[in-house]
Amino acid sequence: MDDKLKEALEFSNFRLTLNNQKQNLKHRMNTMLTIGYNGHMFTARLELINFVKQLLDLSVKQYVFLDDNENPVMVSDLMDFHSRLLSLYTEALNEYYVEHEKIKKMRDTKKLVGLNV
Amino acid sequence: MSNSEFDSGVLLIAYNNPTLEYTKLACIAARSVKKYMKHNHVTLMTDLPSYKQLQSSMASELIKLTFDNIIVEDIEHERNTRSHRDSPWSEFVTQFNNKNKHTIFHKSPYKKTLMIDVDYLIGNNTLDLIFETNSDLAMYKDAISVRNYEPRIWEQKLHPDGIDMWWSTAVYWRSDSELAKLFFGVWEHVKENYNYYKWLYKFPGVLFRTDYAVSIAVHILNGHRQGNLIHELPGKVMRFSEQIDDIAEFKDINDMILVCPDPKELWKSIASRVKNENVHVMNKMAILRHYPKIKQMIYD
Repeated sequence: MDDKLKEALEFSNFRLTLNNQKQNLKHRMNTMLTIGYNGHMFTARLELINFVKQLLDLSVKQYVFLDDNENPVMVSDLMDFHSRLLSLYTEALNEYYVEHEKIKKMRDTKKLVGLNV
Repeated sequence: MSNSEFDSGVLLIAYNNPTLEYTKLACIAARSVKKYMKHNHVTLMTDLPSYKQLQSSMASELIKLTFDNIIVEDIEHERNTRSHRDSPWSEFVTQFNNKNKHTIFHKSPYKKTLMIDVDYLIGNNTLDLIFETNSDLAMYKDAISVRNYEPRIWEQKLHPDGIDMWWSTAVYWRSDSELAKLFFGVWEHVKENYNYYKWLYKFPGVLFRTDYAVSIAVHILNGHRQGNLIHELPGKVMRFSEQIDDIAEFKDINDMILVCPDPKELWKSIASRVKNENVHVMNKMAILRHYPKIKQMIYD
């Protein structure tokens, strides 16, 4: 095979693997965003975190939210709810950042996935 | 209603066949549950020949360390042969004992049960969350492969224009729930009238698939519509590895490197490392090939 083509195909395979690893990290981050609260599950998304903050800024004491299964839930301690959502989001995003920093510096397909062959 | 001896726990089912030693897979699943989950009381549901095989291959101390409770049944399995892939280049047919899976509702010793298939490897504590909810019943509807592909169409829907497919890989329920009781009853009914439902819902194949049975049960209980009566498990998306995928290496029990061919162009493979995730590894042979190393990881 032509050397240039071989090099290009190796690079192409590297990019494919890199992209897949990034998707894996994103998926791991999304899994970490699930939180259990008052017997219901919520996903700590920016939209929800900011909305709760908005309610807190308006001195709202309690509010009804839709959980991950679209059931309405009354949350009466908005401060605690916000704190837990934000903490979980930060933890998940930090893990994503640390792992992403590791793989973005790699230039070899085997090293990218940690293969020792 | 079932006789609930324990508050919460994980139920595993393992019936060996001449080709696949499901009890070994159950040991791996049980130890991964114990390592990563808080609700980690584990019950193994098995049959007499499988239990004897387990006893002959493992010291009783290790069995006690792995399973908190073992239910041994004297049952005769109905014939249900299934074709398995082990990488794109190897295929085998073997007996698949899944026709009594719906009986877990009555047999589970837990008030809150999470049943997982023994090829579902637990790599984090996400599923603990479901025990803290008010959910009657929960499963996964959506899935994504370790190659980050969506499942094939017949694993997304029972028919391209049909109802959603729910995965019976992981099922959570409360034993005091009337909804759960109804659900398992409908599951049994669908099993007993499988050909009729196959015709009605227009799905292919001769193999009895519990995924299809639970999907029909969900559809019927939702009033023959889509609905949110049955909840989705935490994380909402189940990770899976296809039967054509192979496992290159286990770095740890929750850290593996897989070789994943493109389903449409099988000669094109990429490596995918999946860490800290729960993964449904459909190529059981691939897990068993690594059993000696995994055994060291989970017992040392």
